[in-house]
Amino acid sequence: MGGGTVSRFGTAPVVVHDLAVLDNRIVGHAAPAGGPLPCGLRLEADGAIIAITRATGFSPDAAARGLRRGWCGVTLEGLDVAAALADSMQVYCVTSDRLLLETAVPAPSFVSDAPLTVEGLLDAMRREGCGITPASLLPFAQATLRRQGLHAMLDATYRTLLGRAADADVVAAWQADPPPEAAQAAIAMIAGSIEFRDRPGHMVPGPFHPQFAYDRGLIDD
Amino acid sequence: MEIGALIGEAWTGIPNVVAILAEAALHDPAIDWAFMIDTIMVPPPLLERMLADRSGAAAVAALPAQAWAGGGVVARAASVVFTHGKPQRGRFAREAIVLYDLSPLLTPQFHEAAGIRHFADHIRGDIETSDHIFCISRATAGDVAAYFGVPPDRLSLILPGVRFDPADLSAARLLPPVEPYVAIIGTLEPRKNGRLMLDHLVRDPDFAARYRLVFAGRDGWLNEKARLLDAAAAAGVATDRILFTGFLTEREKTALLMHAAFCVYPSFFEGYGLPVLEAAVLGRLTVCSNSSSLPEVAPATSLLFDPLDPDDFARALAEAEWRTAEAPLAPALCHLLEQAATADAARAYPPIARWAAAQ
Repeated sequence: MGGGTVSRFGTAPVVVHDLAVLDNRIVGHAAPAGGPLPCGLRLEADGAIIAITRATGFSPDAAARGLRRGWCGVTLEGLDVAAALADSMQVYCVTSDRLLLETAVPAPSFVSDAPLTVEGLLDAMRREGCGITPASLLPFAQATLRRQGLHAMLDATYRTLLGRAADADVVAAWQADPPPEAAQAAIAMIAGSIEFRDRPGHMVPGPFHPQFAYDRGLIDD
Repeated sequence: MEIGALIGEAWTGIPNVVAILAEAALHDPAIDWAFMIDTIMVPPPLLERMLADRSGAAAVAALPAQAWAGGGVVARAASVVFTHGKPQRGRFAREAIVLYDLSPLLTPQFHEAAGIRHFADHIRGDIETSDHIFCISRATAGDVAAYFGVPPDRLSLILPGVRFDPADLSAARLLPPVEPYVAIIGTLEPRKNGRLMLDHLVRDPDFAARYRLVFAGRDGWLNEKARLLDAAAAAGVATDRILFTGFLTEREKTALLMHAAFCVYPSFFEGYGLPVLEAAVLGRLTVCSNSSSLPEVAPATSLLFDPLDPDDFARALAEAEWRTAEAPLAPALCHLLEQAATADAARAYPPIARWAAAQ
């Protein structure tokens, strides 16, 4: 089938990858040589495209290997669909069409999921590219503080965790009397706030998430 | 190309159309486009950042400095396309404008006074000082010709399209089943006529038991959300059967449309009605008002009704219910990708490029 219908996808060629079947999905990481774009992967079976995704999640393995600070994790779903079509499946790089993995399709899980609520559907769609803990944002907050200053770091913390601009009175107070370890303090303040606790899903957007507002340059340092 | 519509933080509707035009122009090697917001030049790297962020926040931060620094000035000899209103008129050798609709003039009851005044103060001058006018639907072109006497040779049609991220289509396609719901897409404002859906519950209270009602869109104006909540209470609908999502990202909207039993678009007036096309690409039927441009958008998947006739609305809803019950499973990802490519938003750009290139 190839990637002819997947144009303008905004991805870079895969240079390093490590993929495996785990719990009826393909998981691992895929990293480019560099640059701001993530890698894109495509799952096929019997020539049909089953799934397309970007490697924008957090992978502890990739972090341990020093790849993209861990932000090149990938999960490919759809193995039950693949099982209906073929005995083997392939994973390709979307950008280069290079074959990255060919493996047997595991037996279908036959797990009948309970229907999602609409809120659950929206939450599932928001979660791609999110991290696990607010602390994972610290290197980006520190880089933003270093490169763009206190106001920019505070505003980015609000926008990333709360989806809105920083409170003007907080910005003024911090600029008048900056706390020590300001990046750490900003994340702790917002992550500990009632407003963050009340937000659906308590999401921590990673550097490829649309709500991520810190300096992304760190991903490529 | 003037792209002032992109100054907002979160893009929907017209900013989405302008973003696609700007993106196509930015990557068109045949034409040396420059971009401006109002009178301030937008450097290509800043535009690329805005397009990547799908937000004008970067421009808000950068443009004051750009203006103080001189910012560059578009040559008077240039051909300029104004993509949403004209902040300056008669300044350039050739000027064209993109017109979406004449709604503030033709249906003023759905707009706030300030918006009507602003539109009325500008539209005539904008049209008179434009060598060419691009309309986003035959309905808008017909209105412009009828009310402003613009001859056919000064009018062109540009067909808005849609742009789906393949990863969003894939992720939405692979979600587990979702509870039955109907999606009513659009900003919460009286022109969108969402009230009709709630009024229907008075005659068919079981509808809300069969489907949750999901109003997807940001709060608009004229207190429409409060009015809708009052109507729901009057119809005796349990509050948990109605959901107001607020603003949705493209990714969230894709999944919401794809998994809806069907969509409802009861608007009184639309320049085009992109949600109807988006639903069609995703294989969803839309119970769709037959007003203004809406019958043009996706006739094969639209169940049209008169938005002033509750009986006709009930008939269209009933037809949607039985057609949905007989519908096949969700389309395969390959099919969705092909459908999205066919209706790609870049199809609006070529007529504009041809006008800009012609001297």
